[in-house]
Amino acid sequence: MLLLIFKALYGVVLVTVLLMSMFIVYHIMRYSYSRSGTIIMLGLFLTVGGALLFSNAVLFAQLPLENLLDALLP
Amino acid sequence: MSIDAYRFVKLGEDEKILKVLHRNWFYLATQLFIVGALAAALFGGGIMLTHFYPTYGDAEDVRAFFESLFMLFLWLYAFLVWIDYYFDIWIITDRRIINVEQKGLFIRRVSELYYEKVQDVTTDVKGFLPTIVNYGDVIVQTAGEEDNFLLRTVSDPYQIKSLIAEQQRTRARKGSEQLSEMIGKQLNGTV
Repeated sequence: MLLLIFKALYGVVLVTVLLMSMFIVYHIMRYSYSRSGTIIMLGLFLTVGGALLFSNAVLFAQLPLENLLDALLP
Repeated sequence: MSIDAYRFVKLGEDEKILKVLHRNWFYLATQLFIVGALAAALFGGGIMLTHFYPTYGDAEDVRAFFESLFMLFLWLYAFLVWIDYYFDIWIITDRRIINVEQKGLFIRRVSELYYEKVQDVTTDVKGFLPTIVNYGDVIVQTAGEEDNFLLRTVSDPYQIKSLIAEQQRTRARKGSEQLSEMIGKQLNGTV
C-alpha cells in the first residue's frame, strides 16, 4: 500500500513537470520573436529537460523502494 | 528585428518602432545567479556530506534520485526566469508605448499608452549597482484614471526618458498644428 502511495506521489511529480514543460514549450512557440530563437530555445529546453526527466525516471525505477520503506517505517 | 516579430502588436499605418526594450541583462544575471548558486549548493553539499559522513555514501541511489529531481526543477525554474525576461518587453513607437508584460506562465498583459495621455516621465535609478551598470525604472505618468506605465529595470533609463519626452513633445506640437490649421480653415470659411 505504502509503495503504491509513494509511486503515486512520484506520478504527481512527473505530471507536474510535464505540465510545466508543456506550458513553457507553448510560450516559446507562441510568443517567440524569431524563428531561430524558437529553434534554439526549444532545442535546448527539450534536450536538457528530456535527458533530466529520463534519467530521473530511470533512477526512480532503480530505487530499492521496499527496503527503503522498511528502513523508514519499521 | 522585423515588425513581424511583434505580431501580437498591431501597428498603425506609417507607425514606426523606435526602440524595443527588455530588462537590463544584469537583472537576468542576478536571477540566474540564484539558479547557479542552488546547483552549486546541491553538488557542494553532496560532496561535503560524503566527506564528513562516509556512511551517507551508502544511500547512493536515493541521493542520485533526489539530486536529479532537484536539477530537473532547477532547470524548469531557470527557463521560467528566462521566459519572464525574454517575453517582457516594451516597444516604443512614434505614436505610443506598448507594454507586453509576462508574469510567470499564466499572466500575460499587453497594454498601450498614446503620447497624448502622457503627463510626466520620471527616471528612477536606485543603488550602487544600478548606477554603475546604468539601469533603472522609467515611470510614465498618465492623465486620468489609467495606471502609470512602468518600464522596469531597463538599460540607459535617462536616454529612454528623453526619447519618450521628445516623442511626447513632437506629438503635442503636431496636435496643436493640426488644431490651428482646422481653426484657420473654419475662420477662412466663415469670413
